[in-house]
Amino acid sequence: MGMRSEARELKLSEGGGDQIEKRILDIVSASGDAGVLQRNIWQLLNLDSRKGSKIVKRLERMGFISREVVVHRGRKMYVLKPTPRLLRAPRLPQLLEEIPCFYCPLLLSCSNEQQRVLSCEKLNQWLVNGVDK
Amino acid sequence: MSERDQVLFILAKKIHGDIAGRIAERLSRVGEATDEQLSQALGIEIGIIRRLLNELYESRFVRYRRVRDVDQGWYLYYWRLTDDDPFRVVEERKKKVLENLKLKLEHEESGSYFVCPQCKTRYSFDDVADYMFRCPECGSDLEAADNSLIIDKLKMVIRRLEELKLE
Repeated sequence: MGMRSEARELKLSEGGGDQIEKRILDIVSASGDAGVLQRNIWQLLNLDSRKGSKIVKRLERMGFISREVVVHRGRKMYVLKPTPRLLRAPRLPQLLEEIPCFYCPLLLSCSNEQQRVLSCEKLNQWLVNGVDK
Repeated sequence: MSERDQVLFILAKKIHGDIAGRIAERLSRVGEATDEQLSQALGIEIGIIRRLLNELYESRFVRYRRVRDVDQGWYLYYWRLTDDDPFRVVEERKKKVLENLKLKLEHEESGSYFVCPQCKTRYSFDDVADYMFRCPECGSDLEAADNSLIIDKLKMVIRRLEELKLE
């Protein structure tokens, strides 16, 4: 398993501490050649810079992003850019992560049995809990 | 590992767990293996390997080739990663998810639901008649549940899924 598989895993993973890494990778990935100011990421994700720097340095070591120093009004700042490795990683839409069925090991067998779908506790919980729109 | 195998590996691991991921990784490396070879290579009990191979087969991640062992007379199964494009695997899953959600929507729209005001458990009309309109958990009188938010959510997710284009 090389670094590329880790990149994909990060992108496809969900929940917990991975979530911040995934969101940083999403932002950097979307920023393209221009890159994005590290400072802006802290604001967007409401991260403190010490915690954020740690994560960013790790992502840099893993080869997903590059950090370049720029000087803006006499102050040193970092611009984060996606590496080719990050841009190559395949991604699955976030929507699929949100629905409990997609990553359920029983999906292909349960959909033949209506009653199992209707009484699925995970599906019901998701419907009741996540009613936000 | 090729890009194709990588996607299969990640999906298999995420859906069926770490050991399933290791099986997919091993199959990608060696091409083909029997359950016993996998069990030995990964140091994992053969019963677990067999169960996971069956799960992976159900989910279309692996295929097998069956060969009769001339000496012993029984069949040997040689497992390999599927030859399908992994995005077809994803596409099929998406289709099944849509079917599930549409079934759920149909049911929510047609049937009435009840809820226990105390413990918030939901019951369908069929259940409620059996319980004489009382919560079987705590005995409270059940109330008609408003499922309009659930219906809205199902409709929204179904629409977004139908519009979703996979690479």
